[in-house]
Amino acid sequence: MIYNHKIYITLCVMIMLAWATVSGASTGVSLHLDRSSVTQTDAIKMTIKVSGTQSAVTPRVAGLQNFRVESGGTSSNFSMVNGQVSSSIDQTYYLYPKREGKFTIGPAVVNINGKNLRSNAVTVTVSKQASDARQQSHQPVFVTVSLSDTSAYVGQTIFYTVKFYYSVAVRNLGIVLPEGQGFLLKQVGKPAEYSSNVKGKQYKVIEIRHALTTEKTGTFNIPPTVMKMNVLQKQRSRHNFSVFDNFFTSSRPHSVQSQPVKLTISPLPESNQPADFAGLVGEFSIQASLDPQKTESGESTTLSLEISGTGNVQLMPDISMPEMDNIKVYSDKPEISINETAAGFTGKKMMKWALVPQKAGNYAIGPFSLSFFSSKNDQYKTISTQKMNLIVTPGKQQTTESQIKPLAQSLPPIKKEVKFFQRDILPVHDHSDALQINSYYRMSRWQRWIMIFFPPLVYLLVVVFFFRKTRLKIEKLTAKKALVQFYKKLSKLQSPKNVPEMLKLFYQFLNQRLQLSGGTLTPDEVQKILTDAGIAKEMSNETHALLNSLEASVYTGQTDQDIDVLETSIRELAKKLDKGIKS
Amino acid sequence: MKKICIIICALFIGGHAMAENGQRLNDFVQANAAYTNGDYQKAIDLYQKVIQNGHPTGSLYFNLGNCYYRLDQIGWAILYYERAMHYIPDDPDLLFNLKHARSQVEDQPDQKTSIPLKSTLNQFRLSELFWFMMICHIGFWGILIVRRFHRSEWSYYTFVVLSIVWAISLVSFLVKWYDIYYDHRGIVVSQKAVVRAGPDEKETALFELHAGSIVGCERNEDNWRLIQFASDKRGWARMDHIEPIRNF
Repeated sequence: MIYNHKIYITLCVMIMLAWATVSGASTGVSLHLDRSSVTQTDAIKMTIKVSGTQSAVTPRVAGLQNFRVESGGTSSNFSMVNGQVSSSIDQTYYLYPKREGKFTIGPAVVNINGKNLRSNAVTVTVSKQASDARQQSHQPVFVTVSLSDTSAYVGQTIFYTVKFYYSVAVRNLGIVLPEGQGFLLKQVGKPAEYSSNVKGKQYKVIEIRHALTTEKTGTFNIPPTVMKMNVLQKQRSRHNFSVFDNFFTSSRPHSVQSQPVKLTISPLPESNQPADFAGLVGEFSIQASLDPQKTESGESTTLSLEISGTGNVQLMPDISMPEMDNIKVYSDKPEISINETAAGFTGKKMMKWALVPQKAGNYAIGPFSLSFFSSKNDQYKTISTQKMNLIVTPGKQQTTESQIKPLAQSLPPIKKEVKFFQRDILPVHDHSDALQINSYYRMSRWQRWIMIFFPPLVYLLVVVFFFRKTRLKIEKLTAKKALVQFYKKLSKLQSPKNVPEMLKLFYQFLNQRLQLSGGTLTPDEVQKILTDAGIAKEMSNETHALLNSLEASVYTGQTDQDIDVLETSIRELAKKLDKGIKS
Repeated sequence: MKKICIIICALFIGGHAMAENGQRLNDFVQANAAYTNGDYQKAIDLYQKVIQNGHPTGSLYFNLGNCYYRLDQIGWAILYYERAMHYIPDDPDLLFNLKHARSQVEDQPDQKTSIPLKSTLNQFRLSELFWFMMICHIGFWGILIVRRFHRSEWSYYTFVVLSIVWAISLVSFLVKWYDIYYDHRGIVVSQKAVVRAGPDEKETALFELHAGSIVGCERNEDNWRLIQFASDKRGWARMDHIEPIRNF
């Protein structure tokens, strides 16, 4: 058992290894905006995520004509979670709206390996800037609050948004929300951070959204929200430009508060209220399914009912299954999931029943209805599912007991603890494997060390060999370029050219071309080296004679040839030698 | 002539080794028979002989543990089961017998917090971890060689994955190796061991331990061992009462 377990772990590691290598290849593009609703002076952060690559790409994004676009840089990510390797590139842009309205941004199109990949598209609403933000724009820090609706119905989700603007450095931010007025504020999502332009002044903004819920009706005066912070101030140092300037900062406690806001909560209208209304306010939908729709008597079928929507989702009711003749109903526990999104609370409730028809025939299942108050249309709505038909064919001849059997089989049996009668040890290992010494202990210590050091040693040898090969290649290339360099240097010599410099350059050329260490050679040594290098005897003799004559000129200070003629003969000889020396 | 000498030597050495193995197998079979016949002391002597004539194995230690258990010497039984755990920690028979033997120990040990990764590691044999480490080791250095000549994206990802697996395998092997080779635990093999304040019979008797209790051994002085039982129980016990688990 344990052995199997180990094989499984080893296999998993191997599969992870293989998968990790392969999975890096899946590519995709997604477009994301940090907010879906902004004012005209706010900046929107747009991130285009290209997954499955590490190379830079240039996306083409549709719908940006109503925005001024600034690049915000590129970041690449590499991660490995549970052995799955993923790589992606995030390209960030800041969008500044040019006008109010509702705009669709995207899709972004990226070309990877000749293939065009398209992202999703997102919608953003640009509205006018709040008046209190404009009023307070002369302040370095200020806070504004806004309500998504100033008048709403009881149970309706209202958003209370706090925006904190600051153009100076602040620390230790704290928020004091209004409370105890018959309503409850709950933060929704993470605070958003962005920059905004208020009357030509650039501010950084922290936006925090809260869901406001209340059971009371009437007009609420929501008191101001207070933001507390420490504002950092730079202290003037005695010197104008000091490296210690950054250390001389002090913080001063400061607090700002928003304007109070008014909210009117109206009771839900009593007229036209459906009988099954359970207090749901928002937008909801209901769906039902029957699987299978055709069955035999005594066999079970599953009826699923799903309610989903946005609003006060915690009040989604349990739909009751009506009694049906000849059908036994077994209900399952409902599953509910609630999410907090920027659009409010969304939720889903799933209810299931096992239906066991006892007789053959056609049975009508449903319809099932749900009533709610639509905050969009300010009226009650009742939505229903389609009526479903369950066709039941006669099953095998079964007794009542055997009809209950499938249900009984589906229930887990009651388990009993297995108890020992007596206790004793298991017998000795008498198989021949008992004497088998395992491979690790069979090896001596030095054998294990050799095994461990062998792979790095091979690597070291490869590295040394590789570098040696590279070095030889470089030397060969240098030798081939020796003539060109010699010509260049010779041409660069200042006029009037002198013999010692020309001789020095000629020796340098010989050293490079023959791949020598660079020491000072004598004419005799050069002749010998050239002969050994396979140069024709006449040419090596010519070189020897020229070097002797040049050296004589150096030491005596006199030359029997014109300097230009000498240079030409050196050039020609170098050319002949370059051709003659086998590389 | 030289060749003939080499062949004779090889045959002699090979024959000697085969004869030794044959003797070991014979002793092992006899020991098993003695155990079956209830002659546990004879079985112990024969198993010990098999160990002395070659390498110890997990099964031989397991069998010795069984013999001592039958002789009602729980301390020695646990000692040999613990020694077998170094070789075959995944053997279900061994785990069953050891658990059963431990349940008969009189002294209540300290409750130790089990480290999840360590307990997973305890299920593997040292040899398994060694070979796993060697495969990763060869893979790691192999991919480094490949990357010397071929620097592609797949080789980079393979290198990253192999580096991580290689590091894990290396650490796992070293932890296991350290656990075995630096196992300072000892077992109380006598029925009762009096623990004193100092290495002398005249010293104050602090507490007593019973057969099968596991203690931590620190240092020896004359015929005494400094031991630690629980976090607050420490003292000197006679060396013949405490036997160290590690015997190499």
